[in-house]
Parts: sequence; C-alpha cells; structure tokens
Amino acid sequence: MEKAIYISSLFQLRFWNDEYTRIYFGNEFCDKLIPNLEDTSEIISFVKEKKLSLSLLTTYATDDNLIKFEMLFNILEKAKIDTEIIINDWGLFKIAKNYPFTLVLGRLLSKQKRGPRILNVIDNLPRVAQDRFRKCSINAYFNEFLDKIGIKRIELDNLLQGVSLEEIEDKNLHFSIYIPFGYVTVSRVCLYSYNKILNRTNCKNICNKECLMHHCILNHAEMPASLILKGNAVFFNNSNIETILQNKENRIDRIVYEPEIPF
Amino acid sequence: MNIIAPVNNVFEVERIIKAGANELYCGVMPKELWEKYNIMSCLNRRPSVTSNLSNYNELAKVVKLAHNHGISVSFTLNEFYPETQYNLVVEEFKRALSCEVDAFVVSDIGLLYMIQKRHLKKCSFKIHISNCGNVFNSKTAEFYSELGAERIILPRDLTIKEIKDLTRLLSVPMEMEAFILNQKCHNIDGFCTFQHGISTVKHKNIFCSKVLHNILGLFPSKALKMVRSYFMKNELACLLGYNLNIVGESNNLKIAEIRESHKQYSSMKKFLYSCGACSIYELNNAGVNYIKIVGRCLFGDKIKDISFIRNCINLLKAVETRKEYIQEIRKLRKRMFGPGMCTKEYCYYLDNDIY
Repeated sequence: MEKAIYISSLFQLRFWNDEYTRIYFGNEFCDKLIPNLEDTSEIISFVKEKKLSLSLLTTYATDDNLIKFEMLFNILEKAKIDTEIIINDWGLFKIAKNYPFTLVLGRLLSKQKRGPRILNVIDNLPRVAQDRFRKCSINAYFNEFLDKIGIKRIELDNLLQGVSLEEIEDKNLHFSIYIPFGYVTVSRVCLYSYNKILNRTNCKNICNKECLMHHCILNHAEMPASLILKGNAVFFNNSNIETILQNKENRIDRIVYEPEIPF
Repeated sequence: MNIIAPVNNVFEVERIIKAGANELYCGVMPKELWEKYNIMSCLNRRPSVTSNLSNYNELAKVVKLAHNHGISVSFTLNEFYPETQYNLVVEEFKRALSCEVDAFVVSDIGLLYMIQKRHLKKCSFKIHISNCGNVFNSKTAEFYSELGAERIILPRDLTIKEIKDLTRLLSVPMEMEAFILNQKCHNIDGFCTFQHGISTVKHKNIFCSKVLHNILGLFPSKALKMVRSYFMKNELACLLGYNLNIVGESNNLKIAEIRESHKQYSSMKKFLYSCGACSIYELNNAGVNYIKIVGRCLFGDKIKDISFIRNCINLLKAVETRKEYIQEIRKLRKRMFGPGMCTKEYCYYLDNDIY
C-alpha cells in the first residue's frame, strides 16, 4: 500500500515523515489558491532531496487559470521528477496530456455520492439503489474511455455509507482513497467573498485568503454527521478505513493522508 | 436569442410555447423505475415525480405537440451513472430516442462515449452538455466537441467576463446556453454531491405527488411561494439552517460578519427567485444564443417567467445602449414581480456592475 501525504502549503511539510513516499501538493477546490511558481519550486526541491514522487493537485479552471497551470507544468517538466497531475477539469486534461506526466482522475470527476444525509434513508432503499450510493461513476464505457486516454488511476473519498468497487472489471484500474476528509460540495462564492460582492460595486481582487484562518463546523438535526465548511468547500470527516482495505476486490492501493482540512 | 423552458406535463406545452419559449426541455420518471430503484436513483438530477413527465407516452405527446409548432425538445439524462445503473440508462436513452426527441442533455462521459460510438452517426439528434459537465474554459468545450457535443450549457458559476473569454477563445463551432432565471444554487452543480429527494423517501413520496402539484397550481402566487419554500426548506441540504461554530483565529467582528454572510448565503428566497435578465444584453454580445429558465421542479409561475424573458429579449432591439437596456429591464422586473426583487442578492451573474 502506497502512502501519500496531502500538502496544501509549504507550512504543512512539517507533517511529512519517511512513511510517505509521495507528496500531493496544491488545491482541488478553489481557483484562487492555485500554487505559485515559488512554492512549487520549493516542493520540487523537497521531493528531489527526499527522493519522493509528486502529485500536483489541480482544480477547475477558467481560461485565465489554464495559463497559470501551464506555467506550473513547464517547471515540473523541467524538474524531471516522477510527476502525476490530478485532473479535475477536462480542459486542463487536454493541456496536460501534451506533457510527460501520469494523469489521474481527481475527486471532482470521480462522481461519488458523498452527502452524509443519505445515511438517514439508505436502509429504506432497495438493495440496487443502496449500491448506487457506494459507487463512483465508472461504468464500462467510461472505463473504456479512460483506457483510451491513458488514465489508470482514480481518486476516491472514504464515503460514510461505505465504498464499493466490485463491479469494475478492468484490473488495470487503480484507486486512491483520501483520509479523513471527504469533500461534499464546492462553490465559487465563499462566505468571505459573498459579503464583499454584495457590499462592493467591483468584485475583482477581493480574495484576502481569510479562509486559511478559519473553518466552520455545521450541524443540523437533519444531517447525521457534522459538516466542515472551509473557504468555498464543505467536507465530512471519516477516518474509518479498515473495512475498505480488508476488501481485496476494491483494489485500493494508495492512501492519501490529509493532516489538515485539505485547503 | 432563444428561450429554453422546462415542461413537467403535456397539458402546459401549448401555453409555454404561446408565452414565448423557443425550445423545451424535460425528463421522465416512469412509475416502474421509481418502484424498482426508488426515486433517489433518479436518472436526471430531479428526484421527484412533479419535476418529470410520468412516462414515455407523455413524452411522445409533448414532442409531437412541440414539433407541430416547430419547437424542439431536449431530454435530460444528466446524472452520473455507475455500472449498476448503466443498462438502465441506455434503455431509457433508447426509449426517449424512439419518442423522437431532438437533443439529449448529458454529463456522464461514459454515456457520451457510448452515444458517440453507437448512435450519433446514425441518428439526427444533438448532444447538449449539461451544466454538470462543468465547462469552465474553452478547452473543456473543445473536449466535449470531440465527443460529439454541439451545445454547451454553461455552469451558473461563470462570470460574464469568463463567458466572453470562453466564447472568444473557442476554436470549434459550438452553441452556447446560459441560465437566466430561478434556482441560482451557490454550489457548483456538477461538483455538488449533496443528495436531493431525501424528503421524498422520508415522507413516503406524498409531498411530491402530481395530485398535490396540480392542487398547488390553483393557489394564488403568494401562498404558492410560501408552500414552495416550506417544502424545499428541508429538502435541500445546502439551505438547511445549520448551527454554525467558527473555529480559528477570529475577533467578534469577524465572527459576526461570517454569521451574517452564512445567513445571506443560505437564503431560500434568493435561491428560488434569482435572475440574470439584465445580463441578456452582454450574453448576446458574448455569443450566447440560448437562455434557460430553470423550473423542472418549481410550482406555478412558469408562464410569467417565460413572458418576462420574452419581453427582455424583445427589448434588445428597442434600445441603443446597455445602460438603457438595464434600466428598462429593472422597470419590467418591478412591474411583473413586484418591488424588492431586483437587488444584488438575486443576481445570477455576480460580476455585473449595475448596483
């Protein structure tokens, strides 16, 4: 089992130890938190020094942000290290496939049903419907398409209702699972920017990255688990992984450990 | 500029077309599917019978009526499907195809790939990429074009500036469709994994029955809005009145600001009655030729919505400048929907600078 650690900022490198052979670096949820060139260069140096592998996390991207990612790809290509790109935008895939990287289908595109509220009703659903909520959207045709475009790894969250990959026949497909934070939803308007948009006539350049200083715990009688609101994304917490790993059919061969809320 | 309007039952088709719709969109939730898999396994992201036509006979009637008026119908199959649901969705696709729908609204890559491989060359329907396909840039639009798509339904989350960039940089011919009215969810639809339809399961489906839907249609508009808000209050996980605990470095002022922001952010009224009408002028200039009224799951005011947007489109020809256009739209909105319904909280496109 490969172990990787999820690092959103250089400060989090303190969580690394030699148990982790791969570093996930970047942000999947906010296009205002795309890593800058300096931080990426430092991560490259760290990875080279410790003889690790690197996975660059990417997010959805507007045309402006595609250019930022291309700049990151250029310095990663020059670094000549074992690099994966976690793809969460099909346009970015079209750009990344021109580089010598391994491409991986990210959490935003693996389409699991993550909302914890399903726990309230899942036992009342027919068996076939229950199964639907434990799977991702890998059907035979999608599998064939991924094979055609060279994607052989898929990133998953550790769903509170359990994860099942039993019907996926392609034995060459590999899966990673993120522990303990799974994402539920993401917005382009975070709590901080929303107030500013409503109170200003010009909404450009309004991000001061306040989200890095706080998070909110959300509770409601209808929601069977606490939610964590960090910046523009909502997460659940599930560190129970034993059942998934015991199931050999699942073919999960990488754990991505998130030492803090992945932001 | 064309209006795409939702249809929930065959009886409203004529009225919707008369009000000014240029295209219709709809889904089907057959009873046998619901009984076997439960409504939570809905194939088109609207897990309620009120949001869907009842069966494929009704779809065939809707298509025939629409075609009699020269209006096309697109059919929604815009969920993401695991292997367990795959045979089922292919079956539903074929049933809709036999009803002669003009286009499919799709987001699942496997379904797109299957359609491209097996059906697209042989048949005359079109593929529209749902907003759940998350087209945030011109390259993603080109990716879907390679899979046979002819239209992109843009995510609600793009600004007008980003839409302009996308259409300017696009290197393939592609129709562009943007949302214009109702249900401006603050989450990115294609990345949101909250499940809807939970109340339907909990309350044994009674709140979503077609009978209730038809009864509600008889209520005056204000009562209707209250009933709608009541039913949707606990339906949408994103709008639940959460108890909020803030963790991290904060002072009291910051905490108060975050709380207020969260309250505003989760406003049901803002969600239901959001509007982008004053952006039609710029969308038109950006090459967006289709504008969508959301409402597969809304009760009631559909005809008024379509008439409003039709009037907004007609105004494009009657004014000289954007400023003039916006002034006229705001007057029209106030006249048709009452005061207080045109503030920044209701804006679909948050980079607009009119306030």
